Amino acid sequence: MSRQVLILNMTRMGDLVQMGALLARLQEEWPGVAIDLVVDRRFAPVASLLTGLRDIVAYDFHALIDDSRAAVKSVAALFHDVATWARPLVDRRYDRIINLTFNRPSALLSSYIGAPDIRGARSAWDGQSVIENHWMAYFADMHHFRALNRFNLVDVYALGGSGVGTFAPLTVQVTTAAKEWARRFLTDSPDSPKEWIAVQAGASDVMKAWRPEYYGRTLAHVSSQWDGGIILIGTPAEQDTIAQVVRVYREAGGRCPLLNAAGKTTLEQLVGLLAECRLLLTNDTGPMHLAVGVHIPVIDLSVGHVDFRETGPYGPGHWVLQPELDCAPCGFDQVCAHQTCKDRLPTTMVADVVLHVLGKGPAPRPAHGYRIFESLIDEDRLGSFRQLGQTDSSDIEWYSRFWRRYWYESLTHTASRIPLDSSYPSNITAAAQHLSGMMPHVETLCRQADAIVRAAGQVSQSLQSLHTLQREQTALRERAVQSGMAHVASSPVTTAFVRGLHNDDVKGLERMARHHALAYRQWRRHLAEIHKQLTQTPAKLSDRPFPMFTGSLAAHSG
Amino acid sequence: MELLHTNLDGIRRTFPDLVSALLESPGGRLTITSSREGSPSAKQDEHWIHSAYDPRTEARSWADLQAKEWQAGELGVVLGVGLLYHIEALAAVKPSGARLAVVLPDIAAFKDALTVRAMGPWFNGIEWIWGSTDDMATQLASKSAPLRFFTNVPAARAYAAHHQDLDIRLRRLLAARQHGRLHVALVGPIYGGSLPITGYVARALEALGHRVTWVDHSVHHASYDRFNRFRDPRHRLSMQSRFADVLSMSTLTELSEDPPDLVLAMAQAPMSLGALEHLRRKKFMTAMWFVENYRHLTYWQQLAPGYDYWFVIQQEACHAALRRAGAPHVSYLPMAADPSVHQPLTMTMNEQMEFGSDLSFVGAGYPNRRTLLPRWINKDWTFKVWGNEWDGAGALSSVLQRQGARIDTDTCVKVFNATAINLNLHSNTGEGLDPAADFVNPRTFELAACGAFQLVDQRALLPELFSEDEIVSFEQTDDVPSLIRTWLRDPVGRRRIADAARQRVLRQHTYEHRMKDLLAELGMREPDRLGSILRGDRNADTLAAQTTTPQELTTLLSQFPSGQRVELKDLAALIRSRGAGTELSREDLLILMLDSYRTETRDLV
Repeated sequence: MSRQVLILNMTRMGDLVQMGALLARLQEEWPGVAIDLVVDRRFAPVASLLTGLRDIVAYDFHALIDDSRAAVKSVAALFHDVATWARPLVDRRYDRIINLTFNRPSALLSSYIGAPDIRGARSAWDGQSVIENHWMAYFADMHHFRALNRFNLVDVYALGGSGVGTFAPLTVQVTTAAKEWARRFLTDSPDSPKEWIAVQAGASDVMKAWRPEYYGRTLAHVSSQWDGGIILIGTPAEQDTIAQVVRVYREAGGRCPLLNAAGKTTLEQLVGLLAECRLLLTNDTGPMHLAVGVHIPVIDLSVGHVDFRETGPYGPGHWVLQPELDCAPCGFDQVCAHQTCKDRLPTTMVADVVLHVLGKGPAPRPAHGYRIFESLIDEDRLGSFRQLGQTDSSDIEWYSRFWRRYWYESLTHTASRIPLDSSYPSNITAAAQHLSGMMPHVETLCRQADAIVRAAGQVSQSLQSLHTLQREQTALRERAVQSGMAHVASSPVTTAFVRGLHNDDVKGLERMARHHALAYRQWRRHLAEIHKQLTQTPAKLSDRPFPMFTGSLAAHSG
Repeated sequence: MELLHTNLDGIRRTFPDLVSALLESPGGRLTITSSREGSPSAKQDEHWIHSAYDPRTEARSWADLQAKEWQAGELGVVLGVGLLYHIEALAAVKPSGARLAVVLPDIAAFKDALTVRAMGPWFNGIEWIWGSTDDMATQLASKSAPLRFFTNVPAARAYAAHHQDLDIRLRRLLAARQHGRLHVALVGPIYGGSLPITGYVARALEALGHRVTWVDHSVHHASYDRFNRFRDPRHRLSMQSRFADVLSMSTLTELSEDPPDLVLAMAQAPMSLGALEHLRRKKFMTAMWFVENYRHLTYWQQLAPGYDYWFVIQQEACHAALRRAGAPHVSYLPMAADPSVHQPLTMTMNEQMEFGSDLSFVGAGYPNRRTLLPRWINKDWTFKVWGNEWDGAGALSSVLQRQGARIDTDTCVKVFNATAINLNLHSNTGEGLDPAADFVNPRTFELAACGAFQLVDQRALLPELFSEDEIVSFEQTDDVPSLIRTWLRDPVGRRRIADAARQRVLRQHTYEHRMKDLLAELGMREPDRLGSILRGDRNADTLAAQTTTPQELTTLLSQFPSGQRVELKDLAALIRSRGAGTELSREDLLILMLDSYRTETRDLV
């Protein structure tokens, strides 16, 4: 009997396209698997362009928010509506549910529908949210150490939702109707240039949108050396932004014909239009992933809180331009008055990249103030980026590569093919000392955890002694966690430890104690392994077995 | 007669009593005349009730216009029967899922119609509303669908009073059936005359058992007022406008943190059209009680389409103007008094001396008052004028109290109580009486509630609010001196009239009455939302008894007191309150999921 998988991906258009690798990986894992997708009604058109889905189950979650918040319907009516909608999903008895939405409602929904294997957020027995699967947990943790992350969301989804496998490019179908529409749209243009580029100047969040006037100047530069056409894409709400782009473009002497397609296309037609273009110059947006899906080169301007390592264009042949600034990328909740990062990307440089991709100029030269990256597939068949020019030799870069290997090996139980670093970071001695300094405390915590397990397991428990043990442990743990979070050599595993500690779905005092003890022991193993790796020579590191971390803390329920 | 029997055949089983009444009725109310086109037309009391040329075409045009607003699922209620051409035309264009009812105020006229025209199959599907006015109100109140009224003016003209009475009884009936508890967010102004009214409304809603969140912007008055210091009026207006936008956003934020069932704004509440449209998209229900003269304060023109429901203190011309400006629903809701504030007081001798006089006026110095009040200064009686904005009114300097300082409500009530004759002159920007004297000001009700005697200028809407035994009015300013003399000589008469007026207020004109009417109107228009809450359909026992309520929910609902309203947040709170040791059922998971969505605010703010 063929397997059935349900994916919950309900909040962002880009996330849908970014699960392309996951869909392919599931087919690799279970040939012939039937994959259904729960999606917000607004994004159903995008989902329909993906390959590998059996059923797209759309629901208007925004209307659900409105109806429940404004009490439009009685609770009985609301319950009845949603339960009726979910019933067929419950009845299908999926083998696996992959929740890529990572919010509380989706966690509750995944558990309500139910499956023997739920990955991502689900509800614990008491309604608290827990994360199942190490890769999904990594995704939940990585915003604590963004600077150290080197995994693209596409790979995290594929590795977590399925496992290790073959590289699969993101793909979005271009329907015949869309193709024909796009060609008509372009040939109807008065000047009918032979080739086109697309530009997405707007963004859902102004923080991640490069300044419209810079787009205008960049395009004017491009037009001085290229005679194609420029299509401006976007939503109706982005018309003001586009108007600014056009105004500056013309004032700067832009010569290429412009076509404003913003608000004039369905998603299907937009895909058709992108497929007719040589490239897309864009902010980090949903259309960026669509462009990747139709296999045209993307030039991604990674500003504001965007980290292209997480959400950048996936697969080979794309470009990312990133400002070089201490505060970049900033936090998701950052409210920035100056947005100086946007001023660090020279418009001439951006234009040079565009011209290079068009074959009209040499590869751009990096300079102070910004970095240029080219996308590729690395030795582990994961999406990655190569920095042009002088490679960053900072400690952060070293540790980011370290953690890239470490997590890959830990979580896939597969040796990484990425070459080892031949050097060490400048703080290697301090790092080793830091880890050595942490170990006695973590050892004590493990002993305390074992003692708590014993105390909790006694038939006639002494609650007072249990509380005393827990208080002592808490005090030490807080100090150890603070220490662990303060150093790049230990912060990612410390984050994982803290989440793992609370990521419990266990009932009863003794089981809870065992869960915690397991978390402490895993933390200790991680720290010991990292210490070993940092203190061994590179030659010896290549011979070592990769660390085995088995068992899901979240699944440690009795 | 044959036509009558043929027409009645289709409704004998569904409306047997109506058929009996029709057969017994003598008819003869309408004068039937042949139209130019050949089909019968009719007159009533010398007025044509259908076209003398082509009643069918006229009816189709009317129906096409009415049907534009008719929504699926609504019960269309036609006022005006005539020869039923317009009803037939409306039945032909009704939206799918909509039903049609007709109010029959006059069986005799209905019989005349059935005797001269052959109705078709459409006739048998009409819901006939007939009987006494109370019966008809009861029938309409029991309908489960939202009501949409269509008035065919020529056919309804002769029954205008009857229809108005039906409207009042229907609202009262719906108001009386209100026992569900609403959460109302009351958005008040930054300052001005509607600010105290907001307080009265809040108190009234709470007294009726509803939860009120008062979004009180009066705390920002000092900041708003500071902008008046700018010399350039453009700067002032610009800053005040932007400030009002910020307050609008703050209202949205407050609503997001505790979403209400109804957002009720008072006149001059700082709510922008953008904010209102955003609330509508998010399915919040909004209403505005515009307690101003629509001719003087015209900002309603921009906001008309923003509120779902408008309540105004004026009638036809105002309603028509608002509808033209885009207001979806407009209803009449006159002012009122708050008996807990506006009440008879026992004055001390000092208070009597300070606040008392033969004649008093309390109010702002509008042009007509500056012109008229000096004429009523007389050596034969004492006269005191209270209130602000009297700068430059030299002719009143001898009677102006406290140098024209603003007086508060407490002082106002003392003046009312201590004065023998309170002059109640409605404001006008011209020099005489208001030429468009329609609405009745709050002072009329406040004076009456205080048991204070008043002389008020005649207003078109006054007679239906107070009878001649309850209030003394004047139409000519020249009549005022003699009225003063007359009533100063008759303290017993003054007492009798003032007491009658107070009783009238307590019976019909308090803010509690107004809020009941307002909520009844909203409940009628929104039977599945506010209506269901007010009827108690969302109380625990009613929900549990509904056949569509899943068994799993019934078990949860049984844990609430039977008369308590239960919403999503209440069920979620119950689940969470079980404590750390309780395993959740699948239904609990679904409730908590729904509640997670309910608490989302990012899209709202």
